[in-house]
Amino acid sequence: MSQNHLEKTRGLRWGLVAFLLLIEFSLIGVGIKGSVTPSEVRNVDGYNPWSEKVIEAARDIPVQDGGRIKPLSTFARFQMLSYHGAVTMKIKSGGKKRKITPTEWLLDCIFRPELANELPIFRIDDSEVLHRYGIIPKDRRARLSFNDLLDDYGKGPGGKDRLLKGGKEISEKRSKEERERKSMTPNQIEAMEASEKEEEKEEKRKEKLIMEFAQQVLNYEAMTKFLDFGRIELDAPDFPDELFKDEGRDPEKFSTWISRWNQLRAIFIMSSQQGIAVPDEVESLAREIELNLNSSRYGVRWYPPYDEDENEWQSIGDRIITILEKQDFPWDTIDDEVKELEALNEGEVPERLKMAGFWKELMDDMATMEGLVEASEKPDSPEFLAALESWKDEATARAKVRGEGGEIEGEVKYYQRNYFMKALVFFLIAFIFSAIGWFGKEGRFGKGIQIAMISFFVLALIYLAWGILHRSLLMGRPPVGNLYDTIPFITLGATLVMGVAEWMTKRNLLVSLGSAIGVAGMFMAFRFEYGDATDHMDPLVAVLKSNYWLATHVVTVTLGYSGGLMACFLSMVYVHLRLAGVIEDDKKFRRFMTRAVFGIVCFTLLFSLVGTVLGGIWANDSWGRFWGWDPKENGALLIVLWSLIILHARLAGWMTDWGIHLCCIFFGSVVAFSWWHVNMLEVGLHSYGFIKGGSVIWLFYGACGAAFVVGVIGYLIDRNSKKAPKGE
Amino acid sequence: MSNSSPKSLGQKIWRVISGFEIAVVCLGLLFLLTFFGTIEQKWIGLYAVIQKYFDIDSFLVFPSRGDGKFIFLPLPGAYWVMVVLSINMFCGGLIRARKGWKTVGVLISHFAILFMLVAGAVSSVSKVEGQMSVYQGEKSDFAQKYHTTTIEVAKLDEEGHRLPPKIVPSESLRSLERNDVLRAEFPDEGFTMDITGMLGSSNLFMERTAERSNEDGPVVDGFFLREAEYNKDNELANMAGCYATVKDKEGNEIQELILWMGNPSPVSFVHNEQRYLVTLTMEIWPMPYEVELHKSVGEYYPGTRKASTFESTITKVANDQREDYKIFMNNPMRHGGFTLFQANWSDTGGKPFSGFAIVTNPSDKWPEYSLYVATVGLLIHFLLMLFRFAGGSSRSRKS
Repeated sequence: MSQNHLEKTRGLRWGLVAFLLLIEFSLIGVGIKGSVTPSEVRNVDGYNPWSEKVIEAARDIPVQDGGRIKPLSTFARFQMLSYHGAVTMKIKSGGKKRKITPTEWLLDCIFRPELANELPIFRIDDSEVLHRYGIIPKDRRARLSFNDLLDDYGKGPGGKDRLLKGGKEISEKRSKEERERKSMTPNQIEAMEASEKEEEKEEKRKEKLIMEFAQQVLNYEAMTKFLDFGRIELDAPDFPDELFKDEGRDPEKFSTWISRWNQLRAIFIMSSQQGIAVPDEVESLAREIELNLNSSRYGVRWYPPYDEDENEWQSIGDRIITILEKQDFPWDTIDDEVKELEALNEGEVPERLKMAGFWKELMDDMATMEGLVEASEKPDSPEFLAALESWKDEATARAKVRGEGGEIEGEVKYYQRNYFMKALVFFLIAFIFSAIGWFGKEGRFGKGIQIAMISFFVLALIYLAWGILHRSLLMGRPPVGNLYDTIPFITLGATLVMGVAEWMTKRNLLVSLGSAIGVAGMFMAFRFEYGDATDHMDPLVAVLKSNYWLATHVVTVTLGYSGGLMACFLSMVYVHLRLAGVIEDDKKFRRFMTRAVFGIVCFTLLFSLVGTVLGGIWANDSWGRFWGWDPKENGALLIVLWSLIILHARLAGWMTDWGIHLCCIFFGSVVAFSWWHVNMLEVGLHSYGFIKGGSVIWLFYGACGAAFVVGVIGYLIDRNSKKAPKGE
Repeated sequence: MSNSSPKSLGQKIWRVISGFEIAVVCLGLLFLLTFFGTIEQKWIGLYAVIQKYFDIDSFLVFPSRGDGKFIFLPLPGAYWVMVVLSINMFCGGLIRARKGWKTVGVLISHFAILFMLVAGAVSSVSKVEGQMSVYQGEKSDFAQKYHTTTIEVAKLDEEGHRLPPKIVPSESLRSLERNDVLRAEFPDEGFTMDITGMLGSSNLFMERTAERSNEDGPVVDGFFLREAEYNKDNELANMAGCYATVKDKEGNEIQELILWMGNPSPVSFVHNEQRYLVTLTMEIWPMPYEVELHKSVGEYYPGTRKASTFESTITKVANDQREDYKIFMNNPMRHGGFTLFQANWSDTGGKPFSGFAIVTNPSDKWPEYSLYVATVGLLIHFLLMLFRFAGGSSRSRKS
């Protein structure tokens, strides 16, 4: 081809490269699209959004969840993700579209449960499993509200109850099967599994979904009912004055009867001893109290424990039970006794007085919660805002006394700043500018495009690095400690290296690739977080609690992953450019690409080898063996071996440019297997890293395979063109 | 490496042995073995995979699928591939390789990797692993070796004390299968023991409460053994079991015994008015010191069952010398060639208990040393390459 012809068709050829890459990666897009739930916008009449001040007051209330103290907004985020699979819920109300954030949704659950029950919170991927309980949603992938389970789809009030009963029955059946399996011989198990028909396997899959969904419904109910004690009006009979001291307390309030619980209990004990039936109204009162006491044991854990030596925060129900267990306490005369004890024990705090203090605190807390619930009947009122702020201040002060909750403000800011979303947007803009730049680099326009591209790329890098740093400071440990952490870190490593390589080479290509990697990495981080619905800032298991090893082994091996992926993506670009003939006239550039990829393979080898061996040394310190052929270790070893194969095969003269690039495309699959797939095997000592599912990984393998085929075609064309006689 | 053409047969052989070709083939084979050895763990568990793919006794490997069918790709055992690779690396990467400042990094890293492989070989031959279980306030001077099943036959003295036992070693029992018979001789005691029906994983059932099938073992004293599914996730939970028939010198049966590893107390028989206790157990491993466990602490993150810390405060007593240690996750106690790790913790039953993994390995620290050397070597080599690359790029831009 003449130089002139190449120049004329350059734009077209770049377009072809982009088209081919898009086709290959659309495979992953198609797979992801298939797992996305249709976002039907539900009409929820009468939904009034919470005021900004209320949201602000609520979001940094300290709560305990996942083994640490975190803001209510973070707790709400991961609760909403687990039910809804997203961090916003779209609804229509009064003809307007609204987006409900996790904090708003949790406020609805706590303070406006009737309204929360209307919201389409439950995501179900295979709603057909609910048909057997009379719940028949419109779509297979659907989002349902709690009320949908009660009447609409359930065709009557029993849908939810049937579902919960069904879930319980399946769970009991599974336990029985598990017990039976334990007493079977391997041959019997094998025969049983061999005789299992496809329909039975499918039924098992459905049963698992039902159990999980039923559990979600139960958890949700707990979240909406834990403050029910503040809403109820008890129908108390008129007891004789000598039985209960009239302290001017409201007999309709739950707290009043908790303070009288032991006397009430005494009525039952005496009746039983004397063989007299307890009056119906007393029995009904006791039943109602017990029901609400049980509900109040679940939901948000936002009360620090009484005892400073304890570390488990409680629900109001747990607090009540902790104190009522001390049944010999004369709770009705406690105030008098406290005064007496205080007078007798100057300065000393005996156990009895301590309990009395806890009791007083409990009574105050219950009154606070009852007041809060009462005020929430007018959610826009200044009274509600004041009550919420007052509780936040109280909980924060108590946490502070215990030396807890110091990172609450920082964590709220972390999520508000949304670093990774910003990085994604800036990487995307940088990529768009770089794509425009492919069609013309010359002149002022080209220069402008280049400046814009670099600026957005650098901005994205800053946000990404800042986000990782902020997370790391909040967690008080090095940046990588779990699978989620590896995604932004690997993205940062890859994009940073691409940026540095671009700065060294000024070829414009590497920054395009870096931006594409940045977009893909950030997208993957969101997908993983949303799919996993787990707070990855929660503390690590004991064996991982070593900042030294996290900072050395984990960071190094993760950089190795990042190198392998970079080599793969660069080689993907190379084979497409070659096939499209874009760089056929630029031998220097081709050489540069091959040398860059080769250099990155060396980088990968260095970091993978050091990281893998450091992992072995850590394992030797933790478990007493350097190498155990565990899947996670083997995965890292595969990367080392593949790097060594590439380097030695090149030295043996078995590989030219094409060979190196084809091997590096395969390298992407090796890294994906090591980084991701080994966790899905769910076997080995690294049980803390196990993950479920992950069909997207097969699509990534598919994309690598497609790029490999493109490379092979390119290689064959190139070989034939070299064989063809000159002048043809 | 020198590229001059080989002249003699010896030179040709040398060139092959030290060539890149063998290195690439060995690395490729290791890649495949590691890959299949990872996948297959899902179906047969870690320990079985190690024995099948990576053990010194494994010469030929047939990777298999989840249903147990073989993939037709016979591969050499990984241990022997590593031996060939080590020889190749020594010949090619150290002896034959060009010596100069450009290759100094490669030489250093080859040497270090070779040292690491030697460490692995030493470890696989001479490393011993086991577990010691101690309750808080108690002490222990022995551990039990992992993956070893032995039969201990102990005589009781006149006062009923257990005398040092005679052992049927694990080497004899390891390869024993269900239909095999092993005769253990006890000439000093005047009896033999026929060991049959060995099961790697089994459950003990009472005839009265469980329905016995044809697959199950015979009933002895109202009990029988049934083979159980092999627990690949927790291999130490697999309870071996077997039958033992005790016979006198004339071959007359004295007693039939049922031995099960999960049995908390030994079974017994009487021969010549002498009582013997028999146990099927993991091999006892005497320690050169005693461990006194003063405090065993296990903590979970509040509101979860996620372990936050497991910690043991111990005193090591050896030859009247007492030394205090605190052992916790990632902080083992190393002493006299033995290393004690905090492996597990439990307080079920009200009394805290610490499980210590114990390892003795002459090459314990070698990989660490070789890592430092390899890192230096690779850094030197790759930095030199990077400078050359950057120099080349900058020259090509200028031109």
